[in-house]
Amino acid sequence: MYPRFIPALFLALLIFTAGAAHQAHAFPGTNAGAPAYRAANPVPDTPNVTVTLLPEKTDLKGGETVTVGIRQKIRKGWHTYWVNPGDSGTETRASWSGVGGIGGLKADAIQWPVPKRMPIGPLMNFGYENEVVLLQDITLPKKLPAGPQTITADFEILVCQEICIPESHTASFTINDGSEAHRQAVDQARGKLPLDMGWQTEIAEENGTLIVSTKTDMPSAFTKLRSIELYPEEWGMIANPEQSAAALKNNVLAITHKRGDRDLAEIPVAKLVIAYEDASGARKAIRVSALNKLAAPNAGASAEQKDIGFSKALLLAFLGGLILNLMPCVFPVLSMKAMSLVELKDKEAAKARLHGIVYTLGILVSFALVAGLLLILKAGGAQIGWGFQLQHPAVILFLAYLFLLLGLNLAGFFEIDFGLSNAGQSLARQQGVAGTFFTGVLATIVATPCTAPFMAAAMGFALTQSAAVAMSVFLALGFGLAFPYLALSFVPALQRSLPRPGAWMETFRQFLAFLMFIAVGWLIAVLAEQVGFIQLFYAQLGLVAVAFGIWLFKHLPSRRKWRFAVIILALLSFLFAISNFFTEAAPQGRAISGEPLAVESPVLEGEPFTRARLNALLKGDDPVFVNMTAAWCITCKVNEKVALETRRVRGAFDEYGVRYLKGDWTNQNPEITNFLEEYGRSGVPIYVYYGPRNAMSGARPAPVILPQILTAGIVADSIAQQPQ
Amino acid sequence: MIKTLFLGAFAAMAMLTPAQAQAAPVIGEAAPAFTGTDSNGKEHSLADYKGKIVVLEWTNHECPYVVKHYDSGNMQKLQESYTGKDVVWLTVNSGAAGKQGHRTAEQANEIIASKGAKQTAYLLDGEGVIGRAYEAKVSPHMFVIDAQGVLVYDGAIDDNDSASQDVIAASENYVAAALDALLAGNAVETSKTKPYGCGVKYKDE
Repeated sequence: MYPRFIPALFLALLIFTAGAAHQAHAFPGTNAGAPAYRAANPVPDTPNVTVTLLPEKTDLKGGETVTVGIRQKIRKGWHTYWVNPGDSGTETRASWSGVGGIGGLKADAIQWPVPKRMPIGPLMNFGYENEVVLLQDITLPKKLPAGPQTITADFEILVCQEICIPESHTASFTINDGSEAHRQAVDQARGKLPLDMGWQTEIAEENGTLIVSTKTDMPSAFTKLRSIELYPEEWGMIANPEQSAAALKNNVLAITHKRGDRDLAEIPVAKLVIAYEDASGARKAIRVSALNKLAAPNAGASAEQKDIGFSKALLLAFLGGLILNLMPCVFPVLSMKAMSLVELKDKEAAKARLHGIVYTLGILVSFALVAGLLLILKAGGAQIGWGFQLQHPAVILFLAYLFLLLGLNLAGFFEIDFGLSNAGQSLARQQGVAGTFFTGVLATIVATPCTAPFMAAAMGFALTQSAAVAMSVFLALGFGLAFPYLALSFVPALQRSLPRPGAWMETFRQFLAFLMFIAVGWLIAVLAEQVGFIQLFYAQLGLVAVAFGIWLFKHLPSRRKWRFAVIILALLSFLFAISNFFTEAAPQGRAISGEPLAVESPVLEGEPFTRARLNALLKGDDPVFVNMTAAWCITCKVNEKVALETRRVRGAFDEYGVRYLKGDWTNQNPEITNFLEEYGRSGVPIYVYYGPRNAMSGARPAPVILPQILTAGIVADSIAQQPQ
Repeated sequence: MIKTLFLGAFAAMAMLTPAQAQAAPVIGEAAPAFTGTDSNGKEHSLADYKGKIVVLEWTNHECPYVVKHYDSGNMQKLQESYTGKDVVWLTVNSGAAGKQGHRTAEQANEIIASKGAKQTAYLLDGEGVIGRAYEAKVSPHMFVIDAQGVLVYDGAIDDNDSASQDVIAASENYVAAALDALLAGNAVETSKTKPYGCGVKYKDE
């Protein structure tokens, strides 16, 4: 469907991307062994902690999930650690195995009761003393042999007084043998978990202080503000030994704490436990997840995603603009414009330069308008990003009409001076300066459906910066778009390298018409994703009506009476086409439907993305792959075809049990816009891979952002790299 | 708008509460200056080593995580390899007298001999002055300072916080990576990680 140079272009870009991949360093030779240093393993004589497993149920079927309490009895004066141990220490780690033919046991992450602050000199630890019951959900394999089965877990527990001892423990329990269940103990332990309230929470940093603000629907709970303690699940967010300060205003609880020394940008989503005493003095805690607006786009570890600086963003935007010239929608405009220089005579050089400058201005002014509108809407709180123009079907339809008109014009169906129809004429007789300016505007309009590679990173950067910086990046993009023609108009040597004028120019012009018709086909396919069947039908009738109206005007009868009637008919025809703009359903009218995109292969169907679904999947153990796409995004579609829907990727998804979530940003969707922003993007595509939960630690590795230009290899490799 | 003001007010309030005496060491800024006495009674100042790369290693030979890296020979190997490349390696013991891991000069020399340690010097910091200046939290907590005296690495020795020696071979050693980068004239890629190990047993204030 696309000219051959597009895959070739992508290939070239991949080489750039691959070159930036970073290397891991490992110290060589540590495995060589050094017998001279060997000493006894530090295994203590008597354990400082004992572990007992407390299953909530013991009468279980295959595939059933059971909550198991992990009770630690800790020697007096000693302590074990919370998931974030504070300044030193390590959290308890569990690894489960079945005995007697039960394989494939699945363990969810450990659920941690509210910890205590334990100061040790100038350091602060978070953990437990005396006794604690951690909870973990275990799912049995589907095929469970009949009769009693023993389920065993190995624990690595660091237990410290002032000194620390890492202890290994093994504990087990038996199911289906009538042994006692521990429902009450598990219920009691549940009561000590922080309550996940799902309250909207934001974190910010000001002058070395971390500010957590949570919208609470029970402000009366926080009457004892001095009792409030903040426990981030991530290390290094706060200076652990410092105290939190809290204040309540209306329904916003604001907690401040001296920030830790970690770069907060590393933490895209911060999970926080807030402990407090209620009015009766009982200790309680809630758990919230805060979107980190400070998180940089490189939250993952993608080579392409390093926090790009201002100058690099400008360069990428400029390159993106240059590449836009080759896109099927823009290429004909540029070509026709360039053709007008072919017959140039030397004395007209000054005039050529003038046209080059005016064309550039036309592009820059229209980019400034679009970008300005985007920035104003964003400042007003709208959840939009680059490409927002295309989220309204009326805009898509308008572009379809426009491309049809351009195509008909190029094909010679009618002649209107669009600034495209003067190939073969001398520059002296060519359109005026205003026409050239309009060509620049037109180039910008037709460029909008094409997102060039490099653009996304630059746009994503731009939209997180000040308006001035953002505007500079957008203008750099426009300048890139204008540059080829500008260069051509300024350098006579380049003009001379153009082919000599001749009859071929008319043929070439007609050929370019087909590129325009391809673009129309594309836009109609996009429209099909946005509107209903009938509206789509009207839209296509509208295309016919546009052409019909023009045809009528071309064949006006000479008799006055008939002439008048035909003009009315032609105008009605245009009116019908225009009326479609107003009958297109508002994009919100059709929520993101679960039905797969038309171009999608039947095999790799993602579930539709919602934040709730993602959170639910992340609570589980399976790896998760998120693909944010839109029908109007060409890069997305190409990636889906050449990478995601290949046998290799499907195989990898199957083999590693990857859950696939697909977000469709064809129409506006604030949830997806939020997700994009979380990863520092302002537009699609984005591919994020969340590795599987580590069976030992119960933790997930940091999510990985894949490059914007995918190959099957890139996707399969990032899935196969199972973090240990 | 109102919310912003509200939060701003809190930030201001938080700043008014007395901050800790010393500023935390910051990656990319001058490493805190110090002078310490080693196990042979010799004084070492950071300023003496301007022009050389300096590694600081917090130690406590009774901590299982230190044991992990000394009994496997991993730490000695790093010391030997990089002191051979003109890197200054200072082992610091901030364990207070009477607490676990504290060592007198004589005991420290015994450990150096018995373990075959190859550091430049073993500093005795029982008062915790150097430890607090660097906010050293655990043993082994590792710092790397470049030849210009700028702190370029602060964190764990490697990426596996298990106490078992078996995992060392497959671990990514952050200190070696930082030193290799510096020696090759490159920037340090990973400059801040979560240090793991046993809390430093500081002198009570």
